[in-house]
This record gives sequence, C-alpha cells and structure tokens, in this order.
Amino acid sequence: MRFEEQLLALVPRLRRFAMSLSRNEADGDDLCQMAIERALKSRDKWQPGTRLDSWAMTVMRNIWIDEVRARKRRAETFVAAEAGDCIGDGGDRRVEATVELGQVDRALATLPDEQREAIALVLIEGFAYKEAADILGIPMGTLSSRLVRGREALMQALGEVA
Amino acid sequence: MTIDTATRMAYVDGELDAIARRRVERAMADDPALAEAVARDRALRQTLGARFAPYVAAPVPDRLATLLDTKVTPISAAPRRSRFVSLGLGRWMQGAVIAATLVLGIAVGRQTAEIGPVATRDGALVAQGRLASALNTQLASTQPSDAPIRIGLTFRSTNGAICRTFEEQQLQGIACHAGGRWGLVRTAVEKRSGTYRQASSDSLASVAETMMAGAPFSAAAEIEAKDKGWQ
Repeated sequence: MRFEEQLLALVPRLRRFAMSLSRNEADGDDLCQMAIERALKSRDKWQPGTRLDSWAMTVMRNIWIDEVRARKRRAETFVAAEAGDCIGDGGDRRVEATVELGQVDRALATLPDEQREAIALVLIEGFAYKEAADILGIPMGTLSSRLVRGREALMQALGEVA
Repeated sequence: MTIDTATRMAYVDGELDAIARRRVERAMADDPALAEAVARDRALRQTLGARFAPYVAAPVPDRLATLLDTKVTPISAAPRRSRFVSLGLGRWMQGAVIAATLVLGIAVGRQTAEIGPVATRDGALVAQGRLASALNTQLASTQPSDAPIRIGLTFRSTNGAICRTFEEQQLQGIACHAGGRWGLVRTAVEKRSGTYRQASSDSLASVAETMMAGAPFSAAAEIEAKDKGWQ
C-alpha cells in the first residue's frame, strides 16, 4: 500500500488523538491537517517496516507541543494585560469558557499536558507502554508514573462531578 | 501480598506477563478493595474510550481526506505549491504542475464553476473533465472545426501506449492512455520573457514524432482504437 493510503487509513485514529490532545474539534482538525502535511513532507524519515501509526502520532504530538508552547506565551501576554486592565474579571470568564465542556473534557482539562498525552496514548489509543514511551521520548518508568498520577487525577475530577 | 498502584494499572492496561497477571488476580480474590479499584480503572478506560470513539467512527472530513487523496484531485482553483511538493513529484514534474496550474488559474478565472482539464494522480498529471472526454470520444477526422478542444495526431508510442496530441485555448499537449486514464506526458506551456506563450502545433507534432512507434494512425485506425478503448 502506498504511503498516502496507509496514512489515510490512520486518519480516524489521528483525529481521535488530535481531539484528545486539543479537546476542541476545530483545533483538533487543524492539528490533524498540520500533522498530515508534515508527515507527507518528512515521509523520508519514516522507515518502512516500522509502525506508521506510532510515527504519525509522534509527528502530531511534536506539532502539538510547539502549539501549546506558543499558546502559553500568548496567554501570558494576555493575562498580564488583563490583570492591569480589568481586575476581578478573570473568574467569570473561566466559568464561561468551561461551561460548554462535557464532564470527561473538564476532567481531562485539569491534567498537566504530560499526563494527558500519556493517558491519551495508552487509555484512548491503546498503545503499549513501550510504544507510548517511544512516541513521547520518555523512559517507561516515567510513562508509568504519569499514567498513575494522570489516572488518579481523572478519577478524582470525575468523582467530584458525579 | 500488596499490589502497588502502578502494577494494578499495568494489569488493566494489559502490560503484565502471565505470572504477574495471575499474582494480581489472586490478590483481587483476597482483597475486595483491590478488585473495586481494578473495576474503576476499567471503567475509566471505557469512559475515555467512549468519549473519543465517535471520531474513529466518523467519516474523515474532506479537508483532511483531500490531503491524502490518491484518486483524481479536481483542480478547481490554483492549489498551494506545498501540496505538490508533498506528493513527492520529481523536480521537473513540479515545474510542469506549477506551469499547468498557472495556465489553469487563467482558465479557472475565466470559467469559475467548471473544473479544470488537469488533475494529479499518483504524482502525475492526468486529463479530467472536458479534456478527458475529448480524448476519449473525439475523432480528428470528424471533429468540428470550431471544437473547443482539438485532437491532432493519434499514435502508438514506443512504450506501447496510445497517445494523442490535443490543443485547446490554454493548454496543449500529448496525452497517453494508461490504466484507464489519459496521462499528460507533455504539456506545451512555455515561459518566455515573462509571458506564457503557447507552443506551436508544429513543435507538438515534432515531440510526438520522437515518441512514435511507426506512423500516426489513419482515420480508420483512430476509429478502431477508440472502439477498443484506446488499449
């Protein structure tokens, strides 16, 4: 099967991973598009015979990391400006922003990024620990402890609203 | 025997070998709290799975599918250059695609609703729309003198395929029939001193001549070739 066809077959899973990282459909599809474009561009870096799904998820996750960093920079600028301009407004906005989200999304939103991506790869995508650790570029022990902490935090968040 | 949290979760994630698995299961039998914790871990996996399952079941959105479309991609507007680079076209083919795209850009500007005459498939240019239909059905011997697309020569190329030269207002070239499609092997678009100039029919014919095995088809041979589906 050609590279494009193999990648096309993976798109539903890539979308799912994108959605669990971004927890937002518009962002998720943007992320997916960027990941597909980058995968096509850097297809030479994928070694035939190795798993294309792990490779494509790695590509997507690296794009997402960059995006998150860029967002944090933007958010810091925004918060600093807001703190000066309209003190006391932040709380209401936060409530508005989260009121639309479902229970699971809210629980996921409470996780640090590194726990969320570990949870997404193992619990949602069904990767083995070894593969997930490779995608994230971390040792298995680190992955395992992120999974433990992430899962405990999710349980707590879901338990509170339930 | 106590089972730590990481081991319990590894059990739920299917990461334990048979011996370690049995150890957890024995401990669960003795310890209802552990069994409950395992049930909660499993429920969490299910909850997360159910939340995101719809994305796997949903059809791939067009904007994503078109990035990977290996079938004909209609060119209805000048595509971004990066798209073609990413299809892995050779350098000269990129040039050809960009040149054709510029021409199509003009065509599209003029006839907005209509799809262009050329698409890409597997990194090669193929005819589509009116051009494909003219190549399939039009005979040089019977075509009206004012046909929007004019078929010139029909011949068998040295590699065995039947090829036809064609001309229309914005695009001229040679198309060869392979795999049920007309692949464009030459598009006669030239850039000269900043303006896009149509290559003359003469040069098209001389390119065709270098590709030919034998003589161009007669009117009768052209009809026969058409009836046999240009095989």
